[in-house]
Amino acid sequence: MVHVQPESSAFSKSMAVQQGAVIQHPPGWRRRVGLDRPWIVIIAGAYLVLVVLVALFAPALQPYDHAQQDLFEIRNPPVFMGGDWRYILGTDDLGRDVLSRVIYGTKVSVAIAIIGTGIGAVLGSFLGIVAAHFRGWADEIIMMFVDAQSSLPFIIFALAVLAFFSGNFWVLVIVVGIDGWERYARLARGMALSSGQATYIEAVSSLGVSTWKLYARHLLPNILPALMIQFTINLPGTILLETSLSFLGLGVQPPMTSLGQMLGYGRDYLLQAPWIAVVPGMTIFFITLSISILGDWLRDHLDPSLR
Amino acid sequence: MFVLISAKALRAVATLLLVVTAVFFILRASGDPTYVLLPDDTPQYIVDIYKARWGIDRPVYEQYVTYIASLLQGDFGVSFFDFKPAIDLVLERLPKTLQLGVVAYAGAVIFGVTLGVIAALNRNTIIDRLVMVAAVFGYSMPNFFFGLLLIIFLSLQLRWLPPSGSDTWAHMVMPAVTLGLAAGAQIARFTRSSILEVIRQPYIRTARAKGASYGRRIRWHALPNAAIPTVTVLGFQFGLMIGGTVVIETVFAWPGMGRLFYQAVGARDYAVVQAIILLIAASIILVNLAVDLLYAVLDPRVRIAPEKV
Repeated sequence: MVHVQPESSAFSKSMAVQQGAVIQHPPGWRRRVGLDRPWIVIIAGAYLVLVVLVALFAPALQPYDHAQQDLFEIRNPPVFMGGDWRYILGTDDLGRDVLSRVIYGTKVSVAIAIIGTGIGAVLGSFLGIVAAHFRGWADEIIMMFVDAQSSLPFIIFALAVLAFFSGNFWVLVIVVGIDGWERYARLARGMALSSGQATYIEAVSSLGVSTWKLYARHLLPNILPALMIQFTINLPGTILLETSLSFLGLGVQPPMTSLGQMLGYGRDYLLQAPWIAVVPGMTIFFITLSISILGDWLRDHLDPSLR
Repeated sequence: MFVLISAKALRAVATLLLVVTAVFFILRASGDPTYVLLPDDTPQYIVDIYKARWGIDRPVYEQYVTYIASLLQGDFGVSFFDFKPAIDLVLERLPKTLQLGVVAYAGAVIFGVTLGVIAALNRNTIIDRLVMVAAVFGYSMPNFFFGLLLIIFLSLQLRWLPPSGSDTWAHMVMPAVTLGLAAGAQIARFTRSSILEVIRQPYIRTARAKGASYGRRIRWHALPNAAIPTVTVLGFQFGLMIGGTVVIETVFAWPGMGRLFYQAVGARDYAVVQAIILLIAASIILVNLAVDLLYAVLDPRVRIAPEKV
């Protein structure tokens, strides 16, 4: 069992620093890690910070309202395709400003991804700990659901549920949340089972602390860092799930928009106005790419044997 | 061995039943399908006849028992729209999906494993870097967006390939590449890291000490051992790829099962939706079972271990 440090935010960094201090690296190490990747890692990190800032301050950053139509300004090309500076990223088929829509869509997509992943994390971790605590039939039943979930591609299930519930926003958020719960459940169950034997749990429970308090105050802080890492691993998949569903017309519904919904809308204008689809598409791609680059880099630091 | 297989098979059947049950009740919980299926001004007595005709006027548990009972007799129900047995509609479309899926999956495995091996054997060279950069791009790229980019460049700009349909082999190129891309990229990465892990093992050093040549060490000592973890990923990717067909077939108007599913959920066609879900879940469970068995074939320790303990 890997002992997980309790300080959650600084966890990965402190691990990397510790290993850097303990292991004598060969001469090329600093060049390889310090100069080989950093520019791309910095760009990826900066892009993600930008995305989060855009999501937080979306209304203030939008030059126009995302739903404001102007039929005299339809399909204006973006600046880099010969358009003018009033509409930097062009306008769509109803004369709506693509930049404003991307900003608003980023906010919606990021919000759904974070709330959804959060629901999955809380639900999964709770059920995982319940399974580990009660063992026996409760464990069996929860693990059956875990197996069932991994035997059906989640998007199939999500499409069916959303179509039958006719695109309700909160059903979408919950469906996105259910995706991935089984990974937290497996993780939390495994860690709760192994720390059941840990001495600190034994010590605390012999002091007569209630079960709730034992889990909330003592077990949870110890398994939280690992759950946080799982959270970041799941995030790109969650973003892709929401954007795929919205792309297919079963996720976010107009007048609300998300990056996937914009892409699905732009699909009908690929010939006349490809930017309507390409701009939100590139935004999604850069988000998932940045998370992958950062994740890879982090993992290389945490596990130098893979290099 | 026999006990192992039958235990796994029993669990597989239970999982399948759970999937079918969960989907049945969730779909029924979404409300009265006649609101969507019939026009708003339909007289009540017609609605009643309609409900009685499809058996949706009875309590849900009764519908469930009837459904499971007819499933066991091979009856998957009848489509609300075509009035044909749901299973016939699905089987009509299945060959197209299999065609696309087999090409995409085979391509992903062949390219993924080959590139992964090449990258691992040329570790930290420019070849390795290029392969890994391509792999990161490959699995970060949303498949629906990649499909649209291909359509923009290869169909609309260059006019090399048809954007939709399924009549000739040229129609298959873009959907297959789009479908296989992410899987191929994941397989390449996984193959690379499992080979890198294996060639560090003491038995590779032993082989070298015995005087085995580089080619022999790779071919007979490293690759078979690296294949074991890779097989697990192949099973996992199969499931992801089936999920991908729904999106890809919609993007490229490929007349397969994925597109039928998309149309059926839009039309609330219970029988067709459930038949497809059942079929997909069954095939994934079967593939996972096959992966487990393949595991035993590849790794003698799995076969022998239970008897020794």
